[in-house]
Amino acid sequence: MAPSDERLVHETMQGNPQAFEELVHRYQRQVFTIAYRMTNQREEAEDIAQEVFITVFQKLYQFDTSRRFAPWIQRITVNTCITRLRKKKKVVLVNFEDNISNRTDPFINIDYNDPAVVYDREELKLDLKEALLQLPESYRAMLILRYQLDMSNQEIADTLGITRENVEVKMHRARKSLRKVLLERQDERRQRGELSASR
Amino acid sequence: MNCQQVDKMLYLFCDGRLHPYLRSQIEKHLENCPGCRNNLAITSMETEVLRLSDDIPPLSGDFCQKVMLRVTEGCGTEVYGSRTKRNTFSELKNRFNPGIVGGIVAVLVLLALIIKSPVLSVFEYGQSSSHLKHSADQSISVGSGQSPKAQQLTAGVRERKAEPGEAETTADSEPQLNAPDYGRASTDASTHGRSAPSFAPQVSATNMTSRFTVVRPYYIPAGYYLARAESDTTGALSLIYATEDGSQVHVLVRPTGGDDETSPLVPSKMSTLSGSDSETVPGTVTKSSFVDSQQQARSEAGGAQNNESVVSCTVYVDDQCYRIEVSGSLPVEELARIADSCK
Repeated sequence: MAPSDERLVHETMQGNPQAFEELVHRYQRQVFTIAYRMTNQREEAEDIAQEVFITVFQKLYQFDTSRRFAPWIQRITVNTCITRLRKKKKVVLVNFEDNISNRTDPFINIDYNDPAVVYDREELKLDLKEALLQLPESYRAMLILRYQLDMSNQEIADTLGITRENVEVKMHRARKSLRKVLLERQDERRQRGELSASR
Repeated sequence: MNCQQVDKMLYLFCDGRLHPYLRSQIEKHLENCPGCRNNLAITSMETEVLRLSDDIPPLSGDFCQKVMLRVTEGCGTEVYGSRTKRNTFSELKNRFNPGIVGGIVAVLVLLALIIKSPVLSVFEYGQSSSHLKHSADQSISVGSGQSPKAQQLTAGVRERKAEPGEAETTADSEPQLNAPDYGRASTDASTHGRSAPSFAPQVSATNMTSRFTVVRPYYIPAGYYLARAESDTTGALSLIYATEDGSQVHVLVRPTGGDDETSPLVPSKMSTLSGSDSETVPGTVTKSSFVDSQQQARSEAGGAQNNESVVSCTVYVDDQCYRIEVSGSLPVEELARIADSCK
């Protein structure tokens, strides 16, 4: 039976590098996935992933071995990504409260009679990547944790250090925000198509 | 359940994370609401695409090795189980706002300046003392027979007028400056080896009780080092700079009675014995005058050979006239430069 994460942490603290190597093997894909979805750049994501493991190693003494290791490393990953993105000023922070919640639902008046008209699946895949990058980091992180790592609200709450209720509210807003960006992109595409057709 | 309530829970419905009771309620509503059904279709499509991970590239094959290399190569070899300095610093940085700390420090400094606290007085005292000490250290290093280059680097003029009290205090810490045997005979590097000298060769006393003047040339040609320093009871100071191959430059500084007793004053002009008759170097010190040096000066300089040139000048320091004579086999321009740098 494979040793638990917490056991590996303990062994690492005792000076066993193989234990830490095993931890890297276990979490490298997960860490890289979060970093890649947050940045959408392979090199940078890998760089962030390395930084995450170095940070984990350096701060192992802070880890409470009575708790689970996974949320801890995921939280470090998300924080590292956000810090890196803010340093590079790639993201303009949007106050969700001001921009979204005080407005009427953007899709309330949309004609959903034919979903296939609203979204083309292949286009949606492309748009989604871009739309994710336009979201505030906290929303982006939340969506990545939920849909890429398949985490529950409670797990996300543990990872991000917020309450489960807060996660529910934010998740709903993140989805609405994502929908808004996606529809805007669809509208732009449609307008470009109409313009080119009229010419 | 109305459309707005359904809309709020629709993504949870698609995620399959809804309580069975709520799920059944939503399903009931969807049966009768085509708008929400379409909304559900869109939400499902988004959820499905959000879950896709086939576009995520693979990690490089040596990722784990890279991490372990960085970990073992010093990024954190001594890290786990202990707090590094960097961690401590970052924790302190997080705990104390640098702006606030900087502001407090600035206010304290301003307050200290305003009230002129004893701390500042001590600081000022320390500055002046350290200056004197520095001069003394320089003197020691010049005469200590260390490497020629080091001596050359430390060669320079130190002119210092100290108040009686200050000089006394400094003398306590630096016995060689106290100089009860100020005018004693020479301290020769050749006879005393490389031990630290206790002489005060660079200190010539004009008024022993109240002031002393340190005279040394700022400029010494490359390769010359202080080989010998002598002073006598009259306050004359003799410095001999030599090279490894034996050539020497002799600098003699002696107090005189004001107007030169042997030569007429030639303001702003320096002439030499054996150099070109028309050789002139403009004076740079306001209270100085250059005089034509005679054979007497050459003999006083000591060690001057027949093919050597002698350059001399006088300089006034605090109403005391000093005669500076530089002799050696160097070109006249070099000797003049050395003499000029003594001022």
